[in-house]
Amino acid sequence: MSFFDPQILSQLPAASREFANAQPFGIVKVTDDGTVQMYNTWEAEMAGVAPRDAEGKNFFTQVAPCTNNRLVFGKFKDGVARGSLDAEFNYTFTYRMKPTNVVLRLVRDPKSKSNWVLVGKKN
Amino acid sequence: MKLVDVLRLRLTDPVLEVIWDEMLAGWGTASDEERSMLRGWVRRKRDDFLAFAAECVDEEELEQYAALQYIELRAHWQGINNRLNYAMVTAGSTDPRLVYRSALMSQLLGALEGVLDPASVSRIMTFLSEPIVVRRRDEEAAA
Repeated sequence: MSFFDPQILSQLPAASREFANAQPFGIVKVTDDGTVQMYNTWEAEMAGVAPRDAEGKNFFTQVAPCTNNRLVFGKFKDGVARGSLDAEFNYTFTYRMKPTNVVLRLVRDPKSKSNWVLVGKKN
Repeated sequence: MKLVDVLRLRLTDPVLEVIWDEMLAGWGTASDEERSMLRGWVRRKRDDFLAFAAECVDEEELEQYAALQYIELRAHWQGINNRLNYAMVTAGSTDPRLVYRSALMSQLLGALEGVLDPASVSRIMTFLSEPIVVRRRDEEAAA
């Protein structure tokens, strides 16, 4: 069972900042090269990075460099190249924050060509 | 202020020690001895570097050495981060010693990063994030 309601996926392409901030999990919208377009408050509080400091930077190399590997960024790049991405897996964030076990979901909406990194806490 | 003084100030900042202690306190399954060993390990990394910094009288040499130390720590951290997360992805759990080693080291990296020239840090990070891409592209071009 995923950490969010699957119906959220269909709402993501039109998601406003208010909608994203109201969700009880991390929502990060990124461009095809990984640049952060939207970074919601749950993610900001979990990572200790303010949205204004994350937006405009590359999520995988600058905001969360512990995801800069084949497991995450590689999977993301492969998915963007294919035009299809939906992968969920366990991960541990440790970069300049309290170690936190999470579940990551990488999603691409083929219609809007928007990319999303969803982050939930793993119990 | 001389670089050696800036390095000493940043790397021995009591806040860094507090953050390390807070992180280690979150390692619920560890014994006091395990926490102490890990704290000693990260302190030795810092202290060894500062020992050379104190001996190095050439500012430019020290600047180069600080960058080399950053590269070494960063590459080490990347290796630990990948190792612990491959275990997370494949087995669903990982060795907590690696998790806390990674977390403590990332704080030391952050402190050292604040001393280095941002353009140099960016260059180092770009190289370390894809150290073999050029070789792969060359191979593809040759094929």
